[in-house]
Amino acid sequence: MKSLLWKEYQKEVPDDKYFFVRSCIRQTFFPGAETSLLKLLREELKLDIFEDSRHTTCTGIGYHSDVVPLETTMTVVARQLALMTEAGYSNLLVSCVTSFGIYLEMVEVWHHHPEMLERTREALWKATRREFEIPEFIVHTSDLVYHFREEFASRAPYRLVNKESGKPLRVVDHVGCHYAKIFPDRGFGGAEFPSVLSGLVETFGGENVDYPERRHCCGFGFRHYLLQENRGYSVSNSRVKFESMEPYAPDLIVTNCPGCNMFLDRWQYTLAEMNGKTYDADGRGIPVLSHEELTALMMGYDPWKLGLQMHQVQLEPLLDKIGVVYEPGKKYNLLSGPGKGPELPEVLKVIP
Amino acid sequence: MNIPQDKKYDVVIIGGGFSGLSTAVVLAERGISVAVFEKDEKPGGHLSRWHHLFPHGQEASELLGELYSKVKHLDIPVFTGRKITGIRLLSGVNMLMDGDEVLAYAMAVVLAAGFRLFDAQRKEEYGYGLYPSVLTAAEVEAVFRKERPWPFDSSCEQPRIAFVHCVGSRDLKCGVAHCSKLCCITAVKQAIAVKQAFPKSQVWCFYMDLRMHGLEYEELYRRAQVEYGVRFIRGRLSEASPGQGGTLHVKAEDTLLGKPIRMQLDMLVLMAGMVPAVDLQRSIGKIVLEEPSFGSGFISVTGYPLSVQVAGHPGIYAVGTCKGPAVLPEVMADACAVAREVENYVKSIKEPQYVQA
Amino acid sequence: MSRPDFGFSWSGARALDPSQPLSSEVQKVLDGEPGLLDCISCGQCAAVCTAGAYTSMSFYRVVLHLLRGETKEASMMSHGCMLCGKCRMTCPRGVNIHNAVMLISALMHTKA
Repeated sequence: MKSLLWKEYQKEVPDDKYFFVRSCIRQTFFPGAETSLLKLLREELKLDIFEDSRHTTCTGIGYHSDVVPLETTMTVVARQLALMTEAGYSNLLVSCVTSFGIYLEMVEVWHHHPEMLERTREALWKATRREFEIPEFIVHTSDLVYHFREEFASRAPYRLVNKESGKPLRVVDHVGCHYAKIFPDRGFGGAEFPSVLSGLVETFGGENVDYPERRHCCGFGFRHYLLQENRGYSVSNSRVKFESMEPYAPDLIVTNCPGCNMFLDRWQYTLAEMNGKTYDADGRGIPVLSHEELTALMMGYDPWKLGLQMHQVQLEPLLDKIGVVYEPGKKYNLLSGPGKGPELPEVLKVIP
Repeated sequence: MNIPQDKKYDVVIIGGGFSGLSTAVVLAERGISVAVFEKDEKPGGHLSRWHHLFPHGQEASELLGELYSKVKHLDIPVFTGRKITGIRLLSGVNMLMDGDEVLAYAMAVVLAAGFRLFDAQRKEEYGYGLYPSVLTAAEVEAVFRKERPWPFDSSCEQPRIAFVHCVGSRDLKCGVAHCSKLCCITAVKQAIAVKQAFPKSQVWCFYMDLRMHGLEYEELYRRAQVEYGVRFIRGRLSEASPGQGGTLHVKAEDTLLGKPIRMQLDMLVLMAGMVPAVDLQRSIGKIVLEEPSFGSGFISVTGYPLSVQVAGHPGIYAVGTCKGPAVLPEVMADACAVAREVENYVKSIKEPQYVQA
Repeated sequence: MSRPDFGFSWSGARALDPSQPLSSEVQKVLDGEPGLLDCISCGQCAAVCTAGAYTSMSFYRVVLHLLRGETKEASMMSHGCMLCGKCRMTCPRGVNIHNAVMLISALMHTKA
């Protein structure tokens, strides 16, 4: 490529001292993801990542469904930032990509409309007697993982390489829309060619797959998806992506947004049951991992502690390709002892 | 004023391309002393980089060759590698300047600065400068001249190639409101040439309107459709993105059917439009030739339909594409018209009792 | 086995791919009436079309559908043709529209 304009889109990511805010969807559907991320950052990298148990949702889901008005979202965001300020931090680490978009959006509105900032300060004071500062840096967890990718790769026992053939695994990267499509200069690589996931994949030794609908939205969209009658529109978007990536035979899909993770994972099951079609050669679906799950897996964490058994498309084919050591029998174990797995789907092959 | 005789001419022409040299030839044939100043190391301008011409496929080098031999035969001095940056009028004499140095003195000056091609990198979405398989029409001419290779494996029997019309023309966002007039016919000409080079190729032209205004252009368009199987799709390209193995993945709209198009291509050709090469900063008795800026227009002339004189500066004329997009027959006719006006002007000064015929 | 009902359905992508090879039936129609390559979608045929007053028939659209491989639409639309010939009289490029419609009817018959 003669000139690589998107390399100009870089962002500064501080090395330490973050106030962490969780994601509604990631905690619910992929509970192991955030836990392992915190473990990676705190124990492996010895970073100071602070969490306040009093923090709440950023109201992104409500805001994007027209259920929560802008002023309410602003005040809730202000409260989160107040908790951050009180704890003495000025770097915000956000788990969800939509959340990331919300924080950036609110800060941007306050920047252009100082009167709204004043109103928010007043509203927060009246409601909670708290005060807040605007964070110096707002960073998404995939940015931080990308920032430390060399560190992780140098310590990782596993690589994104097929153990038997020695060839790099073919990985599709799917970056959430709210990461860089709204504020291109706040993401690595901008909106057109974000490098936050593809860079991570390459550092782990994988091969990025470029396919025609690579930048297409997965269709999550909140208000589109929430009502069952509308859901077909959302699902059609994911289907367009799957149809487009199928000829390129990817081994793995990596996402940074929890919604995308859920969608690309869940709809392979739904579409398989509705159409009888899966998008890989064996009928078992293309495994989907988030950036934290991928990094943790590379670093040798136990797949079942990571929560990979909660994924709709089973991860075992990928684990076998990488050569991860795991115990298949313990997949559905609960803390108390052995557990019973879920009912198996009819079309999508899940081999227990 | 003391004018050195070796720098004195009746007429100086700024620009040694087709329009400048043609005007010089007509003037010299009429006995007017004329010199040509060309900023590049070689004359010929854009035409010297073209392979073959529409609508008959005549070789550009042949046409230029004929012109050069006339220039040589008439002993017209052509100074290459000399750039004129300004013209100053002093005591009725025009001084042609390069910075502070006076290169020549003349009674009349003809601007033949020509055009530039729109910088296709400004249409970022088409990926020119990012992907090797995206070329401009000028670069395709270079491929035909064997100065550069095809950007795909030329042993491939069935390459898929598309032409995008109106890149940088008719585009207010790019500061270019006008139609560049000759891109449509050039695209048709190049599409036919590609089909001749690769008979099994698939060639498409994405157009907004097909402007086949000249003699035999419409006939060439029909031949492209019927004899060569070039397919014309009315609609714009939204973007070109990288496909696997150096191919391009393009998205466009088929406006006649109202449906989106997604396809893989081996090469994309952008018909970059004609934009001004020079912007005139004019004040009383002085003209400075500057770099054009965003939205600069072509040189404006008065006296429609004989639009040859630069307004407000007697003795300063403009010929050819520096006034706006034009095709070769128009430039040829323009050169003759300008030469006639310049001759009348020069004679009116030399022989005050001379009345134009 | 019955498919579960999730309460919604999905829609396929609408995009056309002109680089896909034309089906053999379309190729036969084009070979049988090479004048179809002459069409410039000027709309003269549709303007005078008798059937076009009451149905969706417009011949230039049939040509576009054919060239994009949409054989079902081409065939269904041309069912409306009454073979009156007004379009052929006015076509500026001299396309033999009768021939084309008959070929489509013979080669790409779809139940209306």
